[in-house]
Amino acid sequence: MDLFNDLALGFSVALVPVNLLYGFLGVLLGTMIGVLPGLGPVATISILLPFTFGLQPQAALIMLAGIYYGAQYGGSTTAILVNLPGESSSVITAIDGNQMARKGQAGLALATAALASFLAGTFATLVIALAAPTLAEVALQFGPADYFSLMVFGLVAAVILAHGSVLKAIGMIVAGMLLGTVGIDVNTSVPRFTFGIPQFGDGMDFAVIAMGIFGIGETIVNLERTGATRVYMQKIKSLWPSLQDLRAMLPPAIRGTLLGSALGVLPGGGPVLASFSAYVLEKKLSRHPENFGKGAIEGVAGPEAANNGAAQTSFIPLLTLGLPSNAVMALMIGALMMQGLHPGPQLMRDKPELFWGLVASMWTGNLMLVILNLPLVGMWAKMLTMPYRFLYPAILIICCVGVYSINNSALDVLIAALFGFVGYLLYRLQCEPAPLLLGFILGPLIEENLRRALVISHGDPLVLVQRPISLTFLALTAVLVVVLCAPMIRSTRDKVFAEESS
Amino acid sequence: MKTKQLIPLLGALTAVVMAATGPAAGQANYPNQPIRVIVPFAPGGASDFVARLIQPGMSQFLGQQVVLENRAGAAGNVGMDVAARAAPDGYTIFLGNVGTISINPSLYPELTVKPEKDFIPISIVADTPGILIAGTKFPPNNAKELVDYAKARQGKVNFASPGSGSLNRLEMEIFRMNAGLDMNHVPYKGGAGPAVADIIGGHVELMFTTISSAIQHVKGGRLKALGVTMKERVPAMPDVPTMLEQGFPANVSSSWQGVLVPAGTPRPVIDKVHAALKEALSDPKVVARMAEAGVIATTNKTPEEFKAYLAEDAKKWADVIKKTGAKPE
Amino acid sequence: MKLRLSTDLVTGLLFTALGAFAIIYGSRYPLGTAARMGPGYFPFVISVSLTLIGLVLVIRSFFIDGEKLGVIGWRPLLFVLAGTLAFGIFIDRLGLLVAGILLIVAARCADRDFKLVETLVLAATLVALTGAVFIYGLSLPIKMIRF
Repeated sequence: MDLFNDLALGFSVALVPVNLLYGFLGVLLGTMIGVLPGLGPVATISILLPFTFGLQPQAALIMLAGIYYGAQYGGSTTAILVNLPGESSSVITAIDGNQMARKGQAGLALATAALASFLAGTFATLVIALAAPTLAEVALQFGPADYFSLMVFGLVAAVILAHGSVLKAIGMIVAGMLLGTVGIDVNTSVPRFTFGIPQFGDGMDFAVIAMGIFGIGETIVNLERTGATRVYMQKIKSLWPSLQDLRAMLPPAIRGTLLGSALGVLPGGGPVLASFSAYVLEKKLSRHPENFGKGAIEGVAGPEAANNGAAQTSFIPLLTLGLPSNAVMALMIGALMMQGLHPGPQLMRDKPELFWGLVASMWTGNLMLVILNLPLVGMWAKMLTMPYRFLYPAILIICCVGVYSINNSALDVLIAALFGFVGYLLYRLQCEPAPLLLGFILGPLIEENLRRALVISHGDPLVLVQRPISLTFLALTAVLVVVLCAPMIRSTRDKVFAEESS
Repeated sequence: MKTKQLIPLLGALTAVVMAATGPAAGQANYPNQPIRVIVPFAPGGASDFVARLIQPGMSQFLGQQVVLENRAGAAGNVGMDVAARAAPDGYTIFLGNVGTISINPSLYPELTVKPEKDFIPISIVADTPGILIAGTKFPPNNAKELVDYAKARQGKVNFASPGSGSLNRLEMEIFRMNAGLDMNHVPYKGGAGPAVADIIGGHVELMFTTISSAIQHVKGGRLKALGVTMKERVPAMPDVPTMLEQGFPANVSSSWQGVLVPAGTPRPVIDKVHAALKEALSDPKVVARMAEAGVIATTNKTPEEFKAYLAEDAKKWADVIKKTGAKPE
Repeated sequence: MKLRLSTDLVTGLLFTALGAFAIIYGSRYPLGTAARMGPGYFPFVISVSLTLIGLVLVIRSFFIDGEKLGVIGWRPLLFVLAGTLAFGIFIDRLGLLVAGILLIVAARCADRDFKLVETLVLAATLVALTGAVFIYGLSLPIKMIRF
């Protein structure tokens, strides 16, 4: 039993008290900073990175992984409590999570997120232990054409997210993609839609847009309400999941785990795609799709599991090949370099205690996350019972400082204000912001990979159907379009008949 | 009469007082407050890596806290702009690199900072050799074979780069210009990682990159190295020939990091920082840590030496950009 | 047919306007061809799609009874936005203390039950707390007071 020995070695490292302590410290600090709006995992790790330099390599790596999970979970907490998704993957969690919170089920939503994450974390840890090298090879097979097709699939799936008008949702996706074109073009270095402002060269920052739309825009909307509807949250109902809740969340969490663990291995949009395809899947499988967007527990369990599974498996390309699949992993490489370590197959072979220690600490880290956060659930939920006239100024100032601190840029705060107006407008126009944000994230990836694929194929578009992976995703997209259109055609037909008969 | 005599006296007095309390006094007890080092790239990158390694040594030598401030954005131009506008008192130091100082001014016409005017160079601190890598299924094994192979397939061979205006792209432009090759440019973003991954995966054929981002893969047999861009072979990879010995003298280039201060910083401060850098980079632990990452720790003997190097470097890249038309259209 | 200010109509008009603006502004970026796309190609395709979606929404709004656009509450809208803008304008110039207090006061003005003393206490508390977390705790380069 090689695996058993390896894992035993790993746990012998991860369970050393000092490593446990740093793991806990990482999870704790990560959660505390990740809860602050605007400070997602990348910002949190950047802030805390210097603290790990003085540690032993194992402790440093374990602590960083802890910070990562903590920040991720902290972000979900903010998304659920005050509808403030600080990073792309918690946009989805916010949809139903915040609705649950408003119904007085903040505790339940947070507990669901924690438990679903733990389940996914446990499974993904096993995946890494068992199949990391194989999965890394699969990820290498993905070329630009394949990413393009995968992203197109994701974009079409994003339409299902909407619970209102489909046409508006498509419009929002497209508008988001347009927003995503702002910045210097990767292929030609031409600045697009930057209006001569150098800071726009790197494009808009996701967190700035999200803070504007959700943090500032939502506050305006809430302030418009009068009297009883002003109360942010109804009475705290369920704090802890009942047996029935557990039964309701388990299947979505399992499906989300599988989806997330698979998509997390892919670079770029992996975790985002994971969390919202999990949502879409649950909505399609549910017998009550109309509950989605109104506080469906499946809409929290699935995406949160997917999210965390993906966060975990995104370590695979880094650990087995030394290739960072996203900004967080690039930071991890930096941290390892400071320790004089270079991730890759050599690391796995030469320093197995480090590799397996990290794998084992992933599981202990997730366990600590649950142990740390379940008791906090009550505290968080209670925070929402604070009078709204104290709550919203607090949200606003933390948003503003958070946005400012992303790039130390006052301009970002002004842009967030602009998006606050946009967010308010969208609410009035009954347009949902989630598709906009997904278009914003996926649009640039689609363009980049499509153009890259065509440059590589010397302009031959057939490359998109000649590669088996790409072809598969395009076929799936076609199926999805049919699934999407079928009820739409039926309902318009019904509507036409209804109008004719009246 | 009296007043007339008084004026020069007063003048002299003020001069004495000014000298005692003014900038000169500030220089004498420099540094008496924390010093910030502006790193124009995100934490975890090559610049941040170097900055964090020299930080403790500098801090110890200067007897003051040295604080790193990452100001990433616009290919390093955001951080460079912040540093150029800072007070020239030695309390703001800029960690420039080949991209920000030598390449960007020729590449971005709207750049308001003019490095040669707005900064005083102090010393280079690190140098990372470049390496020409290709996927294992790519037939050529060295630069000569590559030229023959690509000549037979003009316009068909794809090369990657971490961005249109990157050093690595320009290195390839020099190479193909001198060899008379037509190759297809595939730009990436987000550092060397994604581009290297696509070369390993066989989606793109070759690229220039830094040794740090390729050495593990070359040693692990996932990539092959066709040449390095140093004058001499790199000790960590003794069997990889230099581009120079393969007949491409124009492909001697490196990705350097260096320390600069805003123009107007007094000379004594410059000398003190220079001494601090020399001290920090003479620590064998720092040198070894850098070497593990494929980075060579190095300093200039005098700030003038660095200034001369920069002038030459900037001119070289300006020429390449002009000749190859690598500029955004 | 009478013109109703339905959400569909307004959304459609906005999409159309945004799309049209992007087509016109983006016309300065070279299009290239489908096989060799220039920097303008993808934005062009997107903005044309957005314009078309907008037009469909506009046309459809004349035939389908959509939800009406409600009354806009100007007070919260203006005060919250003004507060945020003030924060953005003054954070670099005057520091967190002034910018933060301006933000909180403006934000509380957005509400109907504004009380001066309570607002000032709240502002002081929140500025102190955020200062403690971001400046002291995370040592981010933000200044409390700046001139």
